[in-house]
Amino acid sequence: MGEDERILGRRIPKLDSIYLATGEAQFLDDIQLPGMLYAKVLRSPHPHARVLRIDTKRAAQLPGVKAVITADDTTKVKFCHLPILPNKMALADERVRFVGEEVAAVAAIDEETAREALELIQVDYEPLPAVFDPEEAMKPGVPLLYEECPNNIASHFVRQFGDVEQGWREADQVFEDRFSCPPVVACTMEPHGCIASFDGAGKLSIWTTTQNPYNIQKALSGVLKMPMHQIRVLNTFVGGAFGNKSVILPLEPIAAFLSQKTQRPVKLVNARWEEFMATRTRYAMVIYLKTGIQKDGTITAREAKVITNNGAQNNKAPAITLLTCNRIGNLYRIPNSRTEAWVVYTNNQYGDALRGWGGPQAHFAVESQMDIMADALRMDPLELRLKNANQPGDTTAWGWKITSCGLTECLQEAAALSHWPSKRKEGGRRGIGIASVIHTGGGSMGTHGGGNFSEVSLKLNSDATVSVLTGDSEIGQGSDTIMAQMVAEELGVPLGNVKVTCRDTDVTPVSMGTWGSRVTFIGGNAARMAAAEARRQIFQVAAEMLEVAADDLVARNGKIFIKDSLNPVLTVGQVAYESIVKRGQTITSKATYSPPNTAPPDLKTGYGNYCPTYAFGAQVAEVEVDLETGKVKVIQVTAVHDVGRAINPLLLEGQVDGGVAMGVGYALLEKLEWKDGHTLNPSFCTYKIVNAPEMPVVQTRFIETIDPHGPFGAKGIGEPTTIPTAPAIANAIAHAVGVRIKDLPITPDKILQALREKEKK
Amino acid sequence: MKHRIQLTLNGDPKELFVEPHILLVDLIRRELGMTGTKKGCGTGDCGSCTVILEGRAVKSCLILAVEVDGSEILTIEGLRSGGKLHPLQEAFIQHGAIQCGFCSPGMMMSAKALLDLCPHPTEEQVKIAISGNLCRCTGYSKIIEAILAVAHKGKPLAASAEGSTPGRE
Amino acid sequence: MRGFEYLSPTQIPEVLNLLHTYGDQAKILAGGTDLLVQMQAHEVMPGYVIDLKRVRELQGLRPLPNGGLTIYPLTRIADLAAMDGLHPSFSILREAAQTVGSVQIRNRATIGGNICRAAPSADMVPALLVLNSQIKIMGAAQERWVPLADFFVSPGIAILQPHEILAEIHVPLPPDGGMGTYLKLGPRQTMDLATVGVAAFLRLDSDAAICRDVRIALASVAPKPIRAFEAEKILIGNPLSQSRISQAACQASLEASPITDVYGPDWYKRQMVEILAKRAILEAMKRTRGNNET
Repeated sequence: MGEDERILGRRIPKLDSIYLATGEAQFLDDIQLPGMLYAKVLRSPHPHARVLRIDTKRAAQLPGVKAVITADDTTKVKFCHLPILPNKMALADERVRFVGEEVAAVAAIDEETAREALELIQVDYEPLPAVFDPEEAMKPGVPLLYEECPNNIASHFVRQFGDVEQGWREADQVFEDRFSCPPVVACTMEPHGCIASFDGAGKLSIWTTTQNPYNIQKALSGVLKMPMHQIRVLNTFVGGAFGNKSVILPLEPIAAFLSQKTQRPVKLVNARWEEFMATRTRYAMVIYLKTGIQKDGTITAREAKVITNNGAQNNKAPAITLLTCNRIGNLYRIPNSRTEAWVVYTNNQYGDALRGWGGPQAHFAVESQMDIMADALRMDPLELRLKNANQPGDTTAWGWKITSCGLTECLQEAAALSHWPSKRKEGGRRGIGIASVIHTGGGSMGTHGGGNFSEVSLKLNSDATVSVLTGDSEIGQGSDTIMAQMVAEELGVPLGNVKVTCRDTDVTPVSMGTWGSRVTFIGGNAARMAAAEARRQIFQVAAEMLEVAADDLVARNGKIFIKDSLNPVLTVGQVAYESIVKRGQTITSKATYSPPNTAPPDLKTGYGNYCPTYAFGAQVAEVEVDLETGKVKVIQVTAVHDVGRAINPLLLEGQVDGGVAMGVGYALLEKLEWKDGHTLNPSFCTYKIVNAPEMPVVQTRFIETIDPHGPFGAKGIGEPTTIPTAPAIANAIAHAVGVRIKDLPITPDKILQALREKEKK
Repeated sequence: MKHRIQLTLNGDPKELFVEPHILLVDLIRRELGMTGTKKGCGTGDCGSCTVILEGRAVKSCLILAVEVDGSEILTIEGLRSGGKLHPLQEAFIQHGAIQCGFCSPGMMMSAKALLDLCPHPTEEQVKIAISGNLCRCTGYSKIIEAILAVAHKGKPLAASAEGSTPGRE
Repeated sequence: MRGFEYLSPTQIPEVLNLLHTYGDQAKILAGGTDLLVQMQAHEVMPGYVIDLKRVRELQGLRPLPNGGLTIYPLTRIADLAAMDGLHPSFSILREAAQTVGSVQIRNRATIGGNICRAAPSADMVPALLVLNSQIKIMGAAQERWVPLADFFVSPGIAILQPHEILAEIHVPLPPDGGMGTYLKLGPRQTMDLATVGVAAFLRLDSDAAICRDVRIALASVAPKPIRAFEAEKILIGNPLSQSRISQAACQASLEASPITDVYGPDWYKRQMVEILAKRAILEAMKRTRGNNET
């Protein structure tokens, strides 16, 4: 096959790039509907208060205002993504529990009028005592957010495998450290938003910036008390999601209630300050990590106490905290582990998924401590990691069945590319640090509030062009392109023939959506299966046309060949035409993939293999520290990731670059500054993310381990790229200046403070 | 009180009557229906609203429509000409510089403004030129590659589309 | 942000007349990079917005016969950042301009706006202060010249009355040359307000050994931009030894009164004043010596 005909492994730009390059792609706020109203939300100024009275009369009378709603105008259904205590309502009723909580909403003819109306709503609050720090909030005698919830503990669990006591006995040294990770926000360039529109028959159409249309449909059905077929979710182009646009915010139900009341489309889009204050954060965590290790570097046991700041309302904290715990228990070969976690209510905004879930927190703790241990044992941090690295074929103490695993190769390659040995010997203000990552490469079963399946359907046109329908969202990462590549490869048609179409719950199949780095693996497998079935149908007709056995046929680049012969005998187009037009036999297929090698974890113990594959990687960061100012410059990050098979290296590199950028921000810059429940930095001016001059050089390599279950051997990458960056940087800083910062972000003042303290000793 | 303003948008003369409080970004997106220019923050921090005003890159969320009477404005929609993509658009696509695409129009406007003033910028100059355009998806690497590729006309400085190695330095 | 009138005068007397009429109901619009943020946040809600951009007399810069520089307030920061052919002593102004915001902000922001916003972090101000700049304030009834150093009162507050405008900035040419530098520290290299900003300008004697004059100005570490006079005294008339420079830098940090905020703790900012002051003095010294040799 010529280079031009190869589909897998090619550097192919995203197939929708042209719409984005010309500006014609319609994002949520670009959509204008006839008669559309604009909504704004009134938010609580108090971290904890009783709502005594809301007077909306003056607001309702403002010319241009079409509706003002409070909780009484809603169904008051409480929702939560996980099937645990749901305690979030679209609009607060009687009590508010964080600054920014939604209290009332207005729909008006324009945004300015809606804003003016908000100022006319009179709310009488009775402030209540509040708690902000989760470790404080757990203590007896502090204010409770929910009276039925003693000590503000929303969730508490223990997972233990093996025998940690035995592990401590076998250890030559035991290390104990406390790490803390701040609340950070997604900072998607496009704010969260939606447009809700009821038609005359009571059907709701809702355009939303989601990465999971089925989730939105299901959740709204519950909150609005409407059957699902009366709710149509239309996925727009999404301006960044990173896991943070996977479930409903109050925005969608609020817009729906307003649309229901006004019988007009209602657009509700967050202002940027609302993105900082009233969307959901990466969960802030404190991790007490204890590890037992032998003189030769063999890890014998690991114990962790994890305290997660749940914020005021439930969303995904228990699942995300569990993920933190299972990363702590499964990164490297850990024979004995015990993790205990508390998810604690505080009067702060609450959390959600964000790229990596609880992985970044876990890896910051584990990978920082690995270097602390290496230093104490006088071992090379690389060697310590190689010694304990997960290997293909392992079954971990937690029951994870590691299939493809390139961790060793990733570590070695990252070290080689970054000139690790020589740079470790250099001193001065430069430092080099390494960190590994373990993450799912294809979602997870039963740990995210649902299953892990995707369904894809294909429809062939009579000219052999293909429409692909999937419920997994394209959010800029290129999943549609990857899926198109896999369909084209499996079906044997040129890539240009394949188009992944819209996401519309009226039409597209039910699917678990885009999260957990799962679309390449799960969606890809479903796509491959659907394409294989369509090919079977094509070959059946072709076989009849040619009077040969279907098994003797292959298809490539739109042409059909008898096996082992070089000359095509038919085109796929000819067969499609014959089948659809002449014979009236359409060529359509549908496949659902749910990984056969996974099951939900045991309800009691948590044991089991719930991820179909694991993604591994290693990153090496090189930094330079200004000893006078404490400022850190990240010079280079070398990222080596086990991707199973590199379906599209161009898009994979994009995930690495973006993941590293987020990781640098997490390491050095980003933190929501909360004071008494108020966010002090709700803008891009005061909350800093990496911009172009801050970005290090990124050197990337992909290791192909050819996963046995992955489509064409591939597995996911979206999240693993951001997980090891912060600990690699922390380790590099420690190497450069000899101080260890265990509290993110590593700001210059922390480095100077640590240097000062080191000097005193 | 509405003010009459005249401007040239992407080469087309326009006459409009606008209230003083209308922002340029809203004039472009709502009144003129060009939604390629985006609103990401409204405080002049993210750069998604960048357009070229009288040859200079500016943040249209910090400009009142009434201020631009008599001006020439270029938005992303005006980059393409005669049905052909501008080299920047081609390069952004080919280099994988577009992921979610929300920042891309503003990014290309900053890039065009730079190249119009300085046709052969250094990498450092490119970074400064786009330092006011935030991107959360791409880490900027491929954006910078794409701009430099246009500046150095077809002599790519790094592997772009159709390179052969699955990794990259 | 609704409910205001937009006025676009073309002459200074017209501007002053409007201000006289509308007084504190009016706000001046220059580049808009501060005002429009404030208006959209409802922090400022004027009844009248007076756009100065069509007043030709308030634009541009021109050299003075005595070598000084007149800068009119509507001069864009981008133009200052790209100035060439300047007397070397004024290169600190170009350097400071290059640190303001981003390209897009510099293309709209004006030097007048940067001064009149009266933010303690204003990047152009320390450079103007160390050059002993004077400003002309005009009202309908009268005009006055004041040293820039006397312009600021507290964060966001200047001596400018509602009926007055800043009409001119006069930067005298320092006698016998001299060079300066402006160093800015922020979380990132670009885009950020100064967490700490230090400008230093010095003149050496003909042997380049003794410090004839030094001026040190600090941004973001007091309620307004300030000069570090006590630090200057340590250096003036003395040789610039490493220890003397360190002493002066330490003194400068003591003259600062930084606060703890989202940009960092107060002790860190104070320490950074010392570090930046030392670096700024050394750099200014290097440039002055380099300039003396040419």
